[in-house]
Amino acid sequence: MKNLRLKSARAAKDLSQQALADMVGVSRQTINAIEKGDYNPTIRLCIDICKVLDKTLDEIFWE
Amino acid sequence: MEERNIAFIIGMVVGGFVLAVVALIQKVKKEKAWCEYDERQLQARGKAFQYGFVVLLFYDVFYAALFAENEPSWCNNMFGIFLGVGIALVIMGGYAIWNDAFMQLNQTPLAVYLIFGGVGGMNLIAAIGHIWTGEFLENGKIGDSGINLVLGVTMLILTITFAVKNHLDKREEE
Repeated sequence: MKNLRLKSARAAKDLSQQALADMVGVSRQTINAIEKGDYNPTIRLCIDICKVLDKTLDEIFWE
Repeated sequence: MEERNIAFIIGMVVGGFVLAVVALIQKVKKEKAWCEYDERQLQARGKAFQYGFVVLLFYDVFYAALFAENEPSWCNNMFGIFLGVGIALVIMGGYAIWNDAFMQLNQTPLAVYLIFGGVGGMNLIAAIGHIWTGEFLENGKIGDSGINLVLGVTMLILTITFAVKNHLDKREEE
């Protein structure tokens, strides 16, 4: 299932996939895969993404 | 020991040495924490190695079952075994490339093209040389020098796969 909340939170911060990827230390394709729902990130990566986007885990990842 | 066998062993030792140096450089880079794979890439690479390993295992089992007594009619055993290595490398590398798990973070496509192009180009040139001089066939069969062709074609396939994937990624990014 696509993670549209991640995509919109990233867009709200005016970050490209590459910029977010660089900030959390992963490849652009990994961010893309998470947004497309092709990859389930570890809790550690989820926390890193939430910190960068100033969101909680619930807001971005909880169904 | 035949001159060709000595050359083959020297080639393997030098190749092993180069691989060890590259692995050492990678380790040093990793300790500096600027060049590594992320968690998704590690997962995809694990699967790639798994598929490559299974393919090579089955290939070797079938090859041994079919040709343990007599060599194939069209090639010698050395070529036959390296053909399996080439197929396994294509499966492993192709899967890793297609799942964006081949390049390390901060590694540029140019570095990959240089490695693939260098190794593939050298082997293809050597293979063409063997065909040109008539050393490619030994007693009507593909001999040891066919290994260059296997490695050259393997690298060529991986280079094309990498180029196609890279192109698709760029279009997606745009």
